[in-house]
Amino acid sequence: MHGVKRINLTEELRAEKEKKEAIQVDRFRNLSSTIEKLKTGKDTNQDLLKSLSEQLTMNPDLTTSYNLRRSIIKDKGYIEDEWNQELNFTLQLLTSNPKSYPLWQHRSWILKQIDKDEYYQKELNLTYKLLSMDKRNFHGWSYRREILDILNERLSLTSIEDLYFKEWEYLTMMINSDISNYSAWHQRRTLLVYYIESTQLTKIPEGTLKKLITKECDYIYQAIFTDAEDQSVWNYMKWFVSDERVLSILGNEELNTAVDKYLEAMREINEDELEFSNKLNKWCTLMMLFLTENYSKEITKVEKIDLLESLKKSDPLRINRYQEMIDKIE
Amino acid sequence: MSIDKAIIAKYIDNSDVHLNDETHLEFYMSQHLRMNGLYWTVISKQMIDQEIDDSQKVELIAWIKECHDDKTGAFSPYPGHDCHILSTLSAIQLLIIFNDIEYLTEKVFPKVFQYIKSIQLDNGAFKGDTFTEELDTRYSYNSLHILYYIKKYSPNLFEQNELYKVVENGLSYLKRCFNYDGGFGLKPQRESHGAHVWTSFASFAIWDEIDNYFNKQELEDLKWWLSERQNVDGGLNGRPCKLSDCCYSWWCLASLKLINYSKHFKHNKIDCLECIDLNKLKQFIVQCQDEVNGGISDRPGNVVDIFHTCFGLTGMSLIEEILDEQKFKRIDPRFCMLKDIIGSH
Repeated sequence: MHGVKRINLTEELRAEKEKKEAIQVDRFRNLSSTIEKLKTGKDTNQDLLKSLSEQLTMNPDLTTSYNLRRSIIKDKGYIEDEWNQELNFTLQLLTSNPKSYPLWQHRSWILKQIDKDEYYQKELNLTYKLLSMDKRNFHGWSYRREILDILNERLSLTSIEDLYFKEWEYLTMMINSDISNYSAWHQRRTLLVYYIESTQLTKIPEGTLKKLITKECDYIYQAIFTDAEDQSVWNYMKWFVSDERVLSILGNEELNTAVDKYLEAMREINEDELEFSNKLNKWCTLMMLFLTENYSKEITKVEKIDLLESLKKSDPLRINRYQEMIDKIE
Repeated sequence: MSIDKAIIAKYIDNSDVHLNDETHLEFYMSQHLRMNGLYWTVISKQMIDQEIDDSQKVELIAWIKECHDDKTGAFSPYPGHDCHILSTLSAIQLLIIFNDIEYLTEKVFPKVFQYIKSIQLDNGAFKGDTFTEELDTRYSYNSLHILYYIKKYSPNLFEQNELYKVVENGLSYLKRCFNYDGGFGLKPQRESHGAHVWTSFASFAIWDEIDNYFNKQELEDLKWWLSERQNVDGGLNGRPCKLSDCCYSWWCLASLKLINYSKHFKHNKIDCLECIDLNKLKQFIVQCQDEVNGGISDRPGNVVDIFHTCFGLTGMSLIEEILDEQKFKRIDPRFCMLKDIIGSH
């Protein structure tokens, strides 16, 4: 059980809870025996589907019940209205159970059976809604990625460009509203890689791509000033400056300029923080070490060790790790 | 403050009774993962040295066999439910713990290899069962873990090459789930997640293939990602900027432990586990304990369950091994099975 508070129930409340549960137990048992009976009967599909809906509403993780449900649907053959009902049914369940693996799986199966572009496009709205309730929902993000990949296979090039442009806007909006949304930064990275890798396939002119990436350099710069405590943007930056694909578009000189600019910003943030809290900023410091190391910027052994010693103070949980890094230098 | 073995024992027994009581709602709501639940229960008992008596063992073995599908060799999570690779691994682990190897080599392994092959895609990914198309690194782990037992207990059942082909293909796919930030996602391109880090990385460790797939920098990145999972409350989270959850004391800690298996880290002065504050993590796990009724929860003050009890205790065991304390049984970070059992057969 995740995130449910431990409480001591009074006798009265306990009795009430037990009474409620007993009703549910009865219901579940009745449903199960009805389903067993119907399974062997003739012309029972409609009733079976109804009982299965009720059972899955009580427990949306019952893999076996989905399996049965799918085999009935396949036998029966659904018309569009019925598919829409099936989508509504799962939508209702997802709203209260957004972390159920088999439920997401069932949704994904329905879409595959319907097999229509416009339905896939509508799914992006669904994840949009669910992700606005829980910005980090792992399932929601994974499903969104899946839908984008499927649409990528199905749509024409111009529609894909439009789709990905909108996705880029969406991610910018998500990040702007919460800079610590690591999931959104992650998705942004996969999208950027997609852009770079598909320039040969799509008609995205190279100039446009370069503009996009140059803009991204600045976006990162703004982000580190927004919340220097947060690891999301730093991880993204670490990837951005070390990815060969980014480098191939941006060119050595421009990337180098960007790195200098970042280092400048980090020194600034660190100075402020030193003044404010007498400690260096952890992520700034780690990234300074990373950048100076990988871009052969000037830094002395002593300076490096000083930075690592300071990390021991600002991040005492990982003291051994920093010591290990110091040992390597010495 | 420490984990109170007696009170944990009381909790495990109570929850066992509770889950098998047909008048309880939980009995119905947990059927789809009962086989896994039994595995979590048995591991928890083993961790605190609590014996399972012979009559109980006989009963449990009979129940597990009731979940066995003779046609495919796979197991369901509960009698009458459909087979799944998640319940199949748990059932096999339980039969190994109960030492019914004969049943495995005669009735299970000859067929389950075919089942595993049937759920593997050409690209090496594994589905969870024969009913759906759902892919997940957990299913890769389950399959690759079972193949290890097949090789160990029935080495002559299949051509070695045939088995290795499945393993190699499975590992290549898992490598594609490795991310730029050092973690693994549920599928390629998905955000890194502590549980998927373990299911992916442990698969390489089981087959002694870490160094064939990962260079030193990649392992350093993994170590970095894992060490950043510790929050100021001492607990570990499963993803950046998330709250601590006791179960990551297993997923993330076991993964850190496995980095030591690489030739690049084997001879390091300090164990990879020590890149985080183990004492603070230990304190966090202890705080998750229900001091009145026993059991361990995801976070201090929350409702306990057997899942978090199991992974809180196994995480604790990994910590104690480093701190050189002797309260809990030693656990193998690749299999989540007692070292005594993995080593003794």
